[in-house]
Amino acid sequence: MKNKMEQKQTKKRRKILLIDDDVDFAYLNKVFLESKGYQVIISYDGEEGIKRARQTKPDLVILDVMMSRMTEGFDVARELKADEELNNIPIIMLTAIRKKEKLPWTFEPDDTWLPVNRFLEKPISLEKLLEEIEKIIK
Amino acid sequence: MNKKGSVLVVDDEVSICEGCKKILLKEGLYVDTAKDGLEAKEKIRREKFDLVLVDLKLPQLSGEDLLHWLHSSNPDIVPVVITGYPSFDGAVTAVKEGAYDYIPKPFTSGELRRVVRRGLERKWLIQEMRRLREEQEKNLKLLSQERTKLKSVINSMTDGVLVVNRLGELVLYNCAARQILNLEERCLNRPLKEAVGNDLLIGMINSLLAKQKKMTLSQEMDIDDKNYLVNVAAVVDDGKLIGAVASLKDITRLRRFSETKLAFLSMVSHEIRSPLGVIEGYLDLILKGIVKDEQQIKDMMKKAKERAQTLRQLVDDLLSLARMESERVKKELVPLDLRKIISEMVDLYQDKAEEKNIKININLEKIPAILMDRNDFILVFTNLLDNAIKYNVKGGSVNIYIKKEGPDLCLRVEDTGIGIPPESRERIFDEFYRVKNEKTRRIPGTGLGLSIVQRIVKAYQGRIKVDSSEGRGSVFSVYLPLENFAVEV
Repeated sequence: MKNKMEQKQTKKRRKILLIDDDVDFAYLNKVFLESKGYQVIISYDGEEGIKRARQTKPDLVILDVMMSRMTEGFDVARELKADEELNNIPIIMLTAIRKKEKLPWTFEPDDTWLPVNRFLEKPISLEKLLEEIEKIIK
Repeated sequence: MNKKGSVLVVDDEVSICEGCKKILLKEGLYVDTAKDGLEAKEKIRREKFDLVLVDLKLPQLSGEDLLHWLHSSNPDIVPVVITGYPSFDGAVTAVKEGAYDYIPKPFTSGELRRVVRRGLERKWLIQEMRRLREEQEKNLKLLSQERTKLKSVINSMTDGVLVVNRLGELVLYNCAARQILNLEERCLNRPLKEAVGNDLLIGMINSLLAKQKKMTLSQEMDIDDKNYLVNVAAVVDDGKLIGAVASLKDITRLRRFSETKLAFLSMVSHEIRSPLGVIEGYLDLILKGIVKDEQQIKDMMKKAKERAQTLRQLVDDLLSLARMESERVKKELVPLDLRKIISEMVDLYQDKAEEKNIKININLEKIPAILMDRNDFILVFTNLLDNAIKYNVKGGSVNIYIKKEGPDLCLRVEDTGIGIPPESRERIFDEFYRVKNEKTRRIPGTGLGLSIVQRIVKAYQGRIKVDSSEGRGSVFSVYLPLENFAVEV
């Protein structure tokens, strides 16, 4: 029991910044991840997300690609990676567009923009997202 | 006219004339006689002769003069000279004057027959030759006309056309091909590799030529920002491959269209997946017992239901759009009492308005009945009304006007809501575009309402105007030309 509490305590220090303009998606994932011992900070747009990242120095950023602009998430990731203080924060990118669908941008991380840690498709189940988070920040 | 030929015998000696006539008649020829040059001329003018036997010594008009005249005015008639004094001089003169042959007096019937037969044969030969030459000339002319026509047709084609021979040399191309491939002036009859700078096309043609059989290859190709469908077909003559013909069809617009369609489908799947994921997520939290607080559960159920409703609205909107795209669905133009419909619709939205304590004011002028599809008008009006409520502030108001404005009928929906940021005003009619900011974040919507409104208004040759001021509200005015749709009562 004590051990479990300790574990929870350790996890609680893990901070996740979730940047997604879907209020419901952000809210329900916050509720879920908090129940698993994470601290979750929500931002609904890219600009605010970057600001919050600078303020809170999260352990992980979960970032939606399509926000007010089609590729806003990409710009946010680029800016985070360009910031010396933030560029070591791992990023999980979420998108509701499947890779197979042809769109005017690439989903494969390449040198021209940024190496994000994971690309995940929406909708994503709570467990699957947790699993991916734990792979990166155990 | 005698098919075997007609002969005129010109001699002042009657016995010669009659003798010749007798012999030649037996040959089945038509024969006439003349006793001097003038009579001969007269007869030649009246009748058609193939051959004239002329005695050089004639009264009235000499044989030489007659020959001379014949040569210039009747070149088709074969002249044969009868000479009384067989001499070299006479023969030379006769031939100079255009005689074909000569027969010295006295002659046997056999000699006469031979000379006449030879002369007539020559005449038929000349005629046949002339006929053949004329025919050939006509054919050549037709051929060159055909060639010009073919060239014009090929050059008028919008598709690029290239023809390559078996050796891989460019032997024909049209204007479109020259433009598409930027061909140089002197590229004709040059190897494809030098003439055409497009490796992909060269590869296609070469691989077809290498196969040595009747076949076609087809490939899409990008050339200078445009997309082409390239077909290469073998040119086969007598079972042998003699070259290849390539056609380049501009499919840029088609490609753009299909890209737009793909992007649209991607947006649709995004717009469907997001709410589905959220609904699933909320249900998961509740079913797995992660959320236990009853009020929180209720709250989540409500949010999930809202997303389901938006999803249903999305399906409805997509169907409306699909119906507008489909040509098969005809509009049912009936005289509508817009004031009545507006009142009915406002009643339906009253509950929604009251939730936010919004007052709806209706100012309807008396207007003529309008010819419109009922569903179209309802879609236009309810989308505007719904927005005016959704994007309004608590305690705000919505003003609805309908009136004549100049040549138009004007439907105006005013709200006292959050307004539209200037940078978004042009985009609000785009499919799936939604203003996303702090104030709109929690307002549900499909991003399709205003594009539906705009499409309908355009279909009725109308226009839509937006005035907006952030923090104060928006005014949407729809103008429909009364001239087209008003029904005089």
